[in-house]
Amino acid sequence: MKSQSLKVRAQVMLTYGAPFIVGALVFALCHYLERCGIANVADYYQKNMRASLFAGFLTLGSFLLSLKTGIVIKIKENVYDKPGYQEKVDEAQASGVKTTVYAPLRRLSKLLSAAVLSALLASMLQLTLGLFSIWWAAATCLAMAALALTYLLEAFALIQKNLWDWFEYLDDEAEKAKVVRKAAKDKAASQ
Amino acid sequence: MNRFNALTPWHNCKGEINDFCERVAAAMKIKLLGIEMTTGQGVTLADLFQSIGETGGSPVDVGGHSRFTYVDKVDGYHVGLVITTKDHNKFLEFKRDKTTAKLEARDVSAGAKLADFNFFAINETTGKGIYQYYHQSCGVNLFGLLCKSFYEKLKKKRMDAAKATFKELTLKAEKQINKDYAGTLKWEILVRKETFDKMVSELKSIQAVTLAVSTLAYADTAFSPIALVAKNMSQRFTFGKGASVASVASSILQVAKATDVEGAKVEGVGDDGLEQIIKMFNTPDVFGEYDFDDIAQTMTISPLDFAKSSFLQSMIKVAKEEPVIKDIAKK
Repeated sequence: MKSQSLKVRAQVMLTYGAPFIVGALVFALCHYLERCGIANVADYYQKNMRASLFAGFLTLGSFLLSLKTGIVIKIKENVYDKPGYQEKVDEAQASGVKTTVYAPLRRLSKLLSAAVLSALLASMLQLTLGLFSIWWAAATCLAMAALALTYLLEAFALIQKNLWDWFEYLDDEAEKAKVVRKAAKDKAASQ
Repeated sequence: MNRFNALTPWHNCKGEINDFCERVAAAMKIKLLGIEMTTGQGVTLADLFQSIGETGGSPVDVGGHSRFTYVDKVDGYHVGLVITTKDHNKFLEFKRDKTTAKLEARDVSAGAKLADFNFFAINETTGKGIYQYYHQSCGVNLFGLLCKSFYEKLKKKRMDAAKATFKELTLKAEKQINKDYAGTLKWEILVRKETFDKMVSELKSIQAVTLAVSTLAYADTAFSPIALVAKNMSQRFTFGKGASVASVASSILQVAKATDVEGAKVEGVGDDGLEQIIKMFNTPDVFGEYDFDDIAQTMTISPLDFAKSSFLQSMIKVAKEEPVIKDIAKK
């Protein structure tokens, strides 16, 4: 595998790091609320949030798990496997871009896996650690939920971006096909 | 060796005299040049021209002559008239027929002074515009210096006012005020690629060159298919005092020919010893050329009514038709 450019490394680090930052912020907020006596975090969490978070993340995780393979395979077949796209990658490599044909897809697949895993882990934590009536246990469960939710939002945005690129690619292909059809029509008319 | 040639400079100077004659002949033309003005922080072009307007045409001494500036706003353009008066009251007339030739001194009419005029029309949004110029009138650089003198006065006034709002001016507040009014008025002459090289060669020295290149390149993406994106790159090269103008000028032209240079800017010192910035643009060098006598004939006007001048109206029309003047450049 070729080495990554600095820009790509930064993008990857930011994408994987942002959910952890959000999780840490939620944990810090819980700590602040508990310490200042504003709210009983553990009590509120167990009474109002634990069950919903368990069901919600279990559903989201399972749904994304089934969707992930479909999305990745579809984008692979319709964009990455196309000779036109592979020529573009050859050109990009020749101009000095450090990439391979399937590198972005591999990264997307890994991120979707991380999103699925985080959602399932968040769901599991509600049933295990969430049972303890201690503020830090509740805070950890809420932080994990926030982390998983951020991963899911990122996955959604990236899937959207890939679909967008796919449709643009389809548009380009349609335009090329139109030119070929017109040329064939002109040729037939001249004969 | 031809003794005559070696001893008399006359023979060698023939070319220069011919050049001089051509320049005199060209001086009879009024040219419309492209210029661009940019301001620093805290003072806009609108503020600048408003402050010039408030002086009501009071004279300002720039470049050894008194300049009277009148400004107005017409159809989204800051328009103005700069009148330069000369101190001498006599001028010479030369009469020549088949047998005789006579040089005669004449007086300017009592209470009057010899004057030159320059109109300008600058787009409010883009800061680009047209400046009318003819030989011996106020050049673009002097016009820039004239505007800069107003700009600096206004900037100082505003900075003093901002400082006066503080009971006790701290170092931090002073720094913030200086930051709010950072930069100054800059002006550039817009020239096209072909004559850019010639104009640069005429500079006395070159301080810096900025080249802008726009290319399509593949962007490396982390999670989505690679795509072509437009990349704008700007590179500034600075030169020491000893840099040869000729070699720098030819190098710039070579780069401009070899690559798809979007724009180039050369900062240097002109023949008059003033700093001059020449900016290469995809534009005509001269947006219009008129006969001096024809235009001078229409100049029997009150300077306060200059906006009604038919020549200024035609300048605004030219500016409106030029995409480089009215369109905002892509950054």
